[in-house]
Amino acid sequence: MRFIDARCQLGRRCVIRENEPVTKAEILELMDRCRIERAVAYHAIAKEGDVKAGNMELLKDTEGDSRFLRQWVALPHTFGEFMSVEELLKGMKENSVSSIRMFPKTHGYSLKPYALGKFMDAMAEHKIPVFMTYNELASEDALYAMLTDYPKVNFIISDVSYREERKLFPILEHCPNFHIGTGNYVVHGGVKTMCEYFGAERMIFDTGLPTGSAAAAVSLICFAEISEEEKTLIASGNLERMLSEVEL
Amino acid sequence: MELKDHVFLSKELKDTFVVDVHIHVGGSTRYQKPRNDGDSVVYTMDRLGIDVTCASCSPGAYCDWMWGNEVCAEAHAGHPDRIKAYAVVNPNYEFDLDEYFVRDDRFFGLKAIPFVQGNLPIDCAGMQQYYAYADKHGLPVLFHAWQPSEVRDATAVARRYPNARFIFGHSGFTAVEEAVEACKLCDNVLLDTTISDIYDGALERIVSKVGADRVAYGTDLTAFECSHILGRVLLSRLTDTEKEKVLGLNAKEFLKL
Amino acid sequence: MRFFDASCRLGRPAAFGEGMPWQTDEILEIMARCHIDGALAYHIVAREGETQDGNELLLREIAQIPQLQPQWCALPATYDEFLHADALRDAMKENGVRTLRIAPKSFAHSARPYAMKELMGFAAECRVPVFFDYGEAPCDELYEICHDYPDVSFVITNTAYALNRWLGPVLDACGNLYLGTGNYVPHRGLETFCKYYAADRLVFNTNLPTGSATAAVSLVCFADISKEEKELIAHGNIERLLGEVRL
Repeated sequence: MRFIDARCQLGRRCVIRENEPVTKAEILELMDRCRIERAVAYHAIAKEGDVKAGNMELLKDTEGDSRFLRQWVALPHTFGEFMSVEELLKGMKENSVSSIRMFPKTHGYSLKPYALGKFMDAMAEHKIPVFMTYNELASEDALYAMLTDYPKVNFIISDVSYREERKLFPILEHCPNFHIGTGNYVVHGGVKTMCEYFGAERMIFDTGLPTGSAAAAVSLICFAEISEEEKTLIASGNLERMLSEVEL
Repeated sequence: MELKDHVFLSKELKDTFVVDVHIHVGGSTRYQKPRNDGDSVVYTMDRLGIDVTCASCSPGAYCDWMWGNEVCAEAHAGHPDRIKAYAVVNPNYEFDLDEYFVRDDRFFGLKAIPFVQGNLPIDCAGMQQYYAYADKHGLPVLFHAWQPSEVRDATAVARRYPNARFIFGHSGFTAVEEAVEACKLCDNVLLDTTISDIYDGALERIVSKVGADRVAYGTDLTAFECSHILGRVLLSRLTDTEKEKVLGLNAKEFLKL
Repeated sequence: MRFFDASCRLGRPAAFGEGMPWQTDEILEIMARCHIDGALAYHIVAREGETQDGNELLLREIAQIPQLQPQWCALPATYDEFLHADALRDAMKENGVRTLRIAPKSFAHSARPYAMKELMGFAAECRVPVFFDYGEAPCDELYEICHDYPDVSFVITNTAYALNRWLGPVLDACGNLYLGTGNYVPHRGLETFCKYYAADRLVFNTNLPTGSATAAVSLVCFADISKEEKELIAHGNIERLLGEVRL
């Protein structure tokens, strides 16, 4: 079975724990050990330091490296800070960047249409999936509001953990553009239940490397009580399909 | 012309030596931080009459500190006489500072802010390698010394490493008692004026307690503006002689500029 | 260049830093030192104690001080706790009050129309500018309040330096939002603001006594903007807003 990781962070980060992978070589070693063929990667500096600089560092760090699929971090273009939507799309096309990650809480901006309407229209038009971790949203209501404000954008929300089921179930019901990253989605029998109620199409394999566990993430899918077809969809099929639909 | 007149005439300080001991270069993910490169810093310096600034790369403190140090070194390289570079150090990593201070001379001091690097105290084990190096080579070290506990820790470090020179960023406004105590106990400590918002009278307060010789102009530029902090000094009740010490003469001597 | 401070505070605070000027004559001294000719002032008791009592205290405090003009704190007239619109208009007219300050979070009431319709309807009708600290309606709430009451001119104060990503889209979407400059300190923030939004939407203020008048004045004086823009910010915009009030 092929695994393609939808969430991997490259680059030296601020805080490291003993034995945690830091370098790209260490991340690749883990990917090999866990049989992860490729990973969608963004840069730590884009999350923690300077978004534009970090996006450029990503290009340098992944030059000629087919194991990593490039993902840029985006900001709203207030006071001319980031790129305009047109510049962003052009840059993505020129540099083979096929997805966007956002950190609205960490980076301090609104997700509402008055602030991000034009940006999200472009994501919808070009079928660019938008990735976020759950803790970047203020609440499950904020998640629901975002999903319904931009129904034509595919959102992949990860690091959901195991206590959010009651909140997430109705959102999954109402919002077909809501996809869950499976790394750390460790509800007992959760992957099976999701397949039963919503279909395997709604889950996207991810690890959260280097701070999340690739071994755990892979095992969760391998051991899930679901069919081989469902595992394949989750492990790589859903993400590959989504990324192949991007029109730049 | 008195120093205060420069404000109302919007006039740069041509005849006063001004050093900003505490600025930043580099952007931010946490909030919009525009015009944060070396050229933009010098543009602002020229407009206000600031002769020298001492910079560290703030995003580097929060993430890849080595990348951040390169950003800072680049700003210094572009304006070697105007922008001095502190190297941010990270207690989670072992690092040979000879790489920054012996193999080349791009840096002149260290920036220490371990609380954002895993919520570590100033006096943690991982930082001792850097303080020892600063002590051995007589380097300046800029602390983020905001909380009273940070100032107490910083004082302990300053006493243990008497040959290094320490600037306690922010503390004269945020932890006054501890900052005063530090100045009493240690000759190798200077306070700075860095704080985005504080009441009028706060500068006079700390100067009255530690003396005008122990406070240096610092602003956190480009995290935010610096002209308003300049104005707080220029329009304060300090004498012009005291203002000149705060604005640049103290730093000139302390940092051996 | 002369300055008019669009927002400062009078009255004895519960706590204050050593050397902080809170007494009225100390505030007047700093104003003189900083070439601030006049100021709109509200009373700490109105903001942190009891609103109507504080508004009365303010009038007494500034009765013989022509440089200081009154700004009243206001809240919805739930259970007749505060003045209803007609009575408020009469009282403001009688006492020369031309601006209001709200604090929905601190005063524990909603800012949405179901709760504030009467008060904001009055402000819109009489063109009374309404002030509040950013913390009273932060982030998306700022958009909501500006959007809910498009005919009210809002001036936000105490904004600090890290808000541009939140502020920008609201400024784009809502033409009725003005920014008090005291402590609006992004690097070259005034210059950038004037470039994207024009000086007309900036209003000089100090946030005295907790904020610094010397800093606020220097920020404008040293800003890399034209003399005309500085004059607008320093006094022109607030004078225009006050001139439009119709009680």
